[in-house]
Amino acid sequence: MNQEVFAKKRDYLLLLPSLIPLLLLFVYPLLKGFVMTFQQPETAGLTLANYVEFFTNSNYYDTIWRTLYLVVPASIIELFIAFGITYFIREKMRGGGIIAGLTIFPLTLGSIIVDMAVIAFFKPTGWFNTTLINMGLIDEPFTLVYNYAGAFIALVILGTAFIASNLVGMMGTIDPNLERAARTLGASRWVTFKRVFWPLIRSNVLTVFALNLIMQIGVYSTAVIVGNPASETRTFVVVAFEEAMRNFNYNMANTVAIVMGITQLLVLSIVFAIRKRGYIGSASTFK
Amino acid sequence: MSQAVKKKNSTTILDSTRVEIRNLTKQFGSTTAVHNASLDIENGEFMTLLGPSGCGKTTILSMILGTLQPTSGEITFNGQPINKIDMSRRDIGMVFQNYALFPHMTVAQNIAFGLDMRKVSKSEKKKRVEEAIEMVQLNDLGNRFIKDLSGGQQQRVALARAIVIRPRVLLLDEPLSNLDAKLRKEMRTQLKKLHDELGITTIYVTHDQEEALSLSTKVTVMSNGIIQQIGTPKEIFGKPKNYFVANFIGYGNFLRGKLIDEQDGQFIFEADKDSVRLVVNHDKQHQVGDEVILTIKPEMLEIITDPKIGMNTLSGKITVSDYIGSATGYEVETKEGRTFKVNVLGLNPYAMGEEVRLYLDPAKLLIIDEE
Repeated sequence: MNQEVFAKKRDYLLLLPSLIPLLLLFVYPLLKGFVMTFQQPETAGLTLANYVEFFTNSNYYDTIWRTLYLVVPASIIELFIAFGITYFIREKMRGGGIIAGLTIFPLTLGSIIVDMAVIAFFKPTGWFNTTLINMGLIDEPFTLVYNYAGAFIALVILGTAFIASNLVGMMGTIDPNLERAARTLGASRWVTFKRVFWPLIRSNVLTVFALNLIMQIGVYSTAVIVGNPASETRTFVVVAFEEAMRNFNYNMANTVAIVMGITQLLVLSIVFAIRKRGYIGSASTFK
Repeated sequence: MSQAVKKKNSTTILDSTRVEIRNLTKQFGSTTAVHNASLDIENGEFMTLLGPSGCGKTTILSMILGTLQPTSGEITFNGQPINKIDMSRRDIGMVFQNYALFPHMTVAQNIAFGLDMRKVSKSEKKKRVEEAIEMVQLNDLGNRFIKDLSGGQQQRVALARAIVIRPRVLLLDEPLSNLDAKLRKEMRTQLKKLHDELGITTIYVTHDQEEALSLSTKVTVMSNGIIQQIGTPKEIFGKPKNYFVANFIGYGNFLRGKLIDEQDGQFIFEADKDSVRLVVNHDKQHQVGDEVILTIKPEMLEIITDPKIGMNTLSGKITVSDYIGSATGYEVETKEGRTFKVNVLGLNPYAMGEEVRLYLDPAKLLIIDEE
């Protein structure tokens, strides 16, 4: 009757074909990388020197602040834009599909093409500044590329696309009858949103927000191409890449990566702590 | 008398509302969901909109509720048009088909939601929520979350949430369709009692004719967006106006033909298809020469053994026998090639293929029109 009774130990051997690549390609490098952070190049002894260096040299520890300063505000703006768009097209609306499509479209292009597009559009001689100057609104072009602003714009475009692609489906999981019920009971649109719609979608929205946030903490190409990787947008990965590829210091590169990983975990736990304070559960109760 | 006393004592008596629907039409693109419907619903009436799915009954309900705007026509509460009033200001209690209970709130919070919107004082709110919980017999479940309730309990929370605001009109959209047969009957009785106690004008949408007949003071039968007949349950069941209503209500047997003569206060009917002649009692609406449909309920058809009765009998044999406990449903195919549905109470004494004679009592045959 009970299938589990017949599961023998040797049955787990069937897992090996999928487990071996995972162990070799992911787990081993991860552990190896972790151990390397406690070593110096070309010496064997274990030491905390890499971490000491990271947290005493501003060239390294500034990356924590710089990355978060770029990514956290961008993520919050992305969330607002993506939520706003998907909320208003969630009911059958003419052109809603096109709006959703255009919002999500940058995902198909990938980071580098979006970065190049931002440069083309926002550079001093690009369409954006040219239009504003021609309209007589400004005399000097805004400097919107190769700095914080450029990286910020590119991040917002990609992050909005990512969050929106997740929210489009989630909006549909809230039964419109719940909102109708609230409205017939006397709630205004705003109160209906505040007391019914938002509490039900909140936990899913925060999950997507957290996912997007930790993805963007690993930003590299945007920071390099349209940002200023020497100072303002000197993020974790920029520094790690520099250590590995220019200085050939894999130990330091790994140290940066580990600090980044810990930062991501911290950010994740903050968002999830906030998430846990509200309703977490299914938005449907119907039996 | 006893009911009047009850009403006086109850603290939840509501000022009821007269609902008038005038020439209501709703079009979606080129399809007409509701066509020129007019309907009066008196104070405290229990009106059921009955019809198959897609007949427009839910569309009418949505327009009263305010989730849909009519293409033309008017809905009034006590003479006051409501078309322009926002749905949050219409004071309607609505029970949705899937209940639409708020999953992130407890039973008590769900019920109190409408009172919160009305800024009712805390003590008053507590009292009214408790009253409502008691009324639908959900005692001690006030602090439960919705997902921990059974379907029947959820249904009662939905009902309590709708009536606690003392609505002008109570709307119910197939509220019992998701309950099992036994619970459905129980809830039906409870709903009826509640309506008697509160006297709220109630509009109930269903496709279940049994529910409609048992609950309502008045029934509106609809098909294809058109109101077919409005009447008390007895009128609808006893005197269906046309083929659609009769068929929907469960008259299973139809003969199309003409009234060709009149004799001793009875019509002689001749069927188009096979010239079967039947005698049928006179009615006031029809006369000789009319193209009509004769219909008879499966329960009213008799299988007879007495060879002396000759009039209005048809010979045939049993082709289907469907035993359902309290009755047996047969299908009898006559020599002329017609199939009649016959319900016989009790045991099933007839075998498949057995030759029988059917008696169509002239007093139980009903003359109806196609449209």
